[in-house]
Amino acid sequence: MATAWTGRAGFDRALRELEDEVLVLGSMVDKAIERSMEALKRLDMPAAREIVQNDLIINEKRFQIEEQAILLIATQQPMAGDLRRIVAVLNIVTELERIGDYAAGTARIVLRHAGQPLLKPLIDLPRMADKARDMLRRSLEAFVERDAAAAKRIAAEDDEVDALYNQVYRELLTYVLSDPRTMDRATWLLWVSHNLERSADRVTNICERVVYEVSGTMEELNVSRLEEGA
Amino acid sequence: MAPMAPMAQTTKITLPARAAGEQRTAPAGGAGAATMAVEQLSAWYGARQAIREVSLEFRPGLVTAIIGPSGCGKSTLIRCLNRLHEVVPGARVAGRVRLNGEDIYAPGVDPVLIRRRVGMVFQRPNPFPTMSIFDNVAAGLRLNGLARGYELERLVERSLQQAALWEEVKDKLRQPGTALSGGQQQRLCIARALAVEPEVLLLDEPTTALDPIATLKIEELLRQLKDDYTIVIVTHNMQQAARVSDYTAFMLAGSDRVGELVETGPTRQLFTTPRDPRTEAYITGRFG
Repeated sequence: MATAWTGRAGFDRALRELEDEVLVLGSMVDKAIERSMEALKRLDMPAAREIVQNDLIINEKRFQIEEQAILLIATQQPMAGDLRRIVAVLNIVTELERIGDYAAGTARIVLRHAGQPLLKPLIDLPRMADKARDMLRRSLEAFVERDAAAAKRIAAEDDEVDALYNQVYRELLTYVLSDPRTMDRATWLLWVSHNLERSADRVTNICERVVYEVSGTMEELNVSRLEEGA
Repeated sequence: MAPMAPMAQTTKITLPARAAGEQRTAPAGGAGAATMAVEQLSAWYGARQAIREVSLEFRPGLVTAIIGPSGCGKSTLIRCLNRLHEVVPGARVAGRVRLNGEDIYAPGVDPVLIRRRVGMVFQRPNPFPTMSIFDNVAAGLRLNGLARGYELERLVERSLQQAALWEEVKDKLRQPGTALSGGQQQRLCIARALAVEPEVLLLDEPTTALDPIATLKIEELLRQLKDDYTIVIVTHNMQQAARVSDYTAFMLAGSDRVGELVETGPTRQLFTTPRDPRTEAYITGRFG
């Protein structure tokens, strides 16, 4: 005789708390990307230093969430959907922490400028950043909603970021070819572009985890069409 | 009966090798583990139906776990596998239970013989209280006239070895079986079941009455035994089912309180990505 009961209220609450913490980390990382781009536009050194410092807080948060997840595994013996949820969380916070690292990397590039002006007005880089941030926010929504279809759609948008990356690369190349003295500053902007492209890739990994949690299988979502003879 | 090949020397218990031409002492049945299958099996206690149209296979070399909440019919199912169910007055079955393809409920089949080929270990260790450790293991062999003298001693030692108990009791075989700890008593019951060389071993919640260490020892023993037997374990401990079994079957009683098979599959799949939402709800502990 199966008796319906109230379920595991304590465990459910703990899972929701874990989910909330992932969103907090996501928000911290989103802000880091935003602030790093602002600091780059204005070459704001104090702001850049603060972003580098704050990356330590992002790292701490990631480890705190990991510990919470491991504690749940040890004490609650999660199975099936609960287990996949917690495994997804463990992977997602790793990706978020790496995106935070990329934002800190961009802040360090601001510091490298040390008095020199930006090579050129920023147009495509902010576009890449906006796109990556939008994908990040929506991927975390898909995680909350357990929406695998949305996750797949978001992952496909990584191609737009890759296209912008190639555009930035070609443009910076023309600067360097016409004036080799711009090599340093062109390289720095190329690194920023690389950081943003990698951030979007990490978001695709988050989307893969959302799909995994729902279906139970890992699917590669980030096979870029642009890499084939672009 | 073809002679059994000597067991490989691995980290597990090694049986004394059989001499060429030596017969299994248990008559009839195939050599080695058997396949069991239930086909559309239903069972009643008088007018009350306990399980409905369960179809399931139990394969050699594997541990199959049957899980489900209290009252889902899992104990009833397992007791149909060795014709213990019919011992209850008014009990009956419909459908087929096959041992290596043969219907064990066919007319003319001797239930006692079935119960030797399909051995059972129960929840509470139940060594025969008046008998020594030796006599407990020898009981089935003596009762059926299967062995005497030196041969009997050899088989008792072999069974105790198989049950990972020999080292602990070899110097006190004449002591009463009840002088052992709970975990040891349960291994004694396993040795007793193995002595008559069954093809299938049924275990009905074998570690529920034992402490965690004894439980893990029995689970380790099952891992070793499964190479040579078909093992079916009923357990309400989900983590145990996940640890110990290769296949898991989930049963549930509906609102009519008749048990049905909901889902079956490889353990690794059932516990990570179950197909049926009722299975998911049960194994995540959201109902019980």
